Amino acid sequence: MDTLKTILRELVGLFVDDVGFAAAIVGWIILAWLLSSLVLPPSPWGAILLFAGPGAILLESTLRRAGAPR
Amino acid sequence: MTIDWMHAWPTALAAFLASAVEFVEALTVVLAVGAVRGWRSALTGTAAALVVLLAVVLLFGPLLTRIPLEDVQLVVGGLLLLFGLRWLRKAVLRAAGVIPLHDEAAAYARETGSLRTAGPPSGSWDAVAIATAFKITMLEGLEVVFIVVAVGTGGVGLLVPVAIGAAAALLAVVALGLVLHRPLSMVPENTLKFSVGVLLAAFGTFWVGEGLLLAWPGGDWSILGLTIGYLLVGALAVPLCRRRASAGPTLILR
Repeated sequence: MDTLKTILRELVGLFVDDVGFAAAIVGWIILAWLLSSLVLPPSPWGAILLFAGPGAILLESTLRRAGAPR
Repeated sequence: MTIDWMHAWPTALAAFLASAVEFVEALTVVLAVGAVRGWRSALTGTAAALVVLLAVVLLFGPLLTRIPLEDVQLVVGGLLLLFGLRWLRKAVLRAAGVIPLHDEAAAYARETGSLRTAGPPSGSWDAVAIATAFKITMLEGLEVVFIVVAVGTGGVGLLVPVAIGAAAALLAVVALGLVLHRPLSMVPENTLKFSVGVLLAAFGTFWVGEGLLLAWPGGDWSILGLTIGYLLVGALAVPLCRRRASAGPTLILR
């Protein structure tokens, strides 16, 4: 049972280290999905925006962690 | 079936590097089990986990190919993006000295110490040793399975080259382990994790875009652009984090 719990925890841990970081990425994907299907006409800007979000989230999250008390 | 290696080699390389990192971590613990509790138990636990992992791949691999490609790309791409950015974030923080580097030699010493205090086996089977080898192979192997399935199902005809990449990593790590008989602490693990994080984040972003039916400028060549983009963001983040960490904790005004 303990092994099963450990495996499940590790399985979630594959994708989530920092809950805020993971939530921001998922939120960005959902936003990109909504924008691309409802608002934006097909154009290369949608793809460029899709990259810009996770890039900015990564930068903000690492800087926030580096500035946090250790 | 013929493989278009011109398109498949970046994914095979990503699978090779990512799997190699996981196998190196598993090898450290399996070596510790073998050295302290005996090789029969270490290899039995490892083999049992490999059989379970193979069954998982055989079960989920064909199932995923039945789902429409756009849906798979959106879900798997999203998971790959989470997975790759998690690795990249950790590698950036380690490179900047914010969190300590992973040390295989220290992990080996810790594992051998803990196995020595576990007491002798009660019967002909050493349950502690088998469970330890099984657990580490399952945990690291599950990550490899995810990488193979995620990267392999994101595009048409990628599963075989990706599986070949992961199998080559397994063979390389096992061969090095057999020759050296000690943890592979000389492998630049953080650099590998940084590179793999960049590659997986690039593939994840591309497949999410494909799943959303976005128009990528340059088609498949966008993957190269995304790789360079994430590489630049990661490379920029390291010195910025180092400077921020050395300046001390941020003062939060309320």
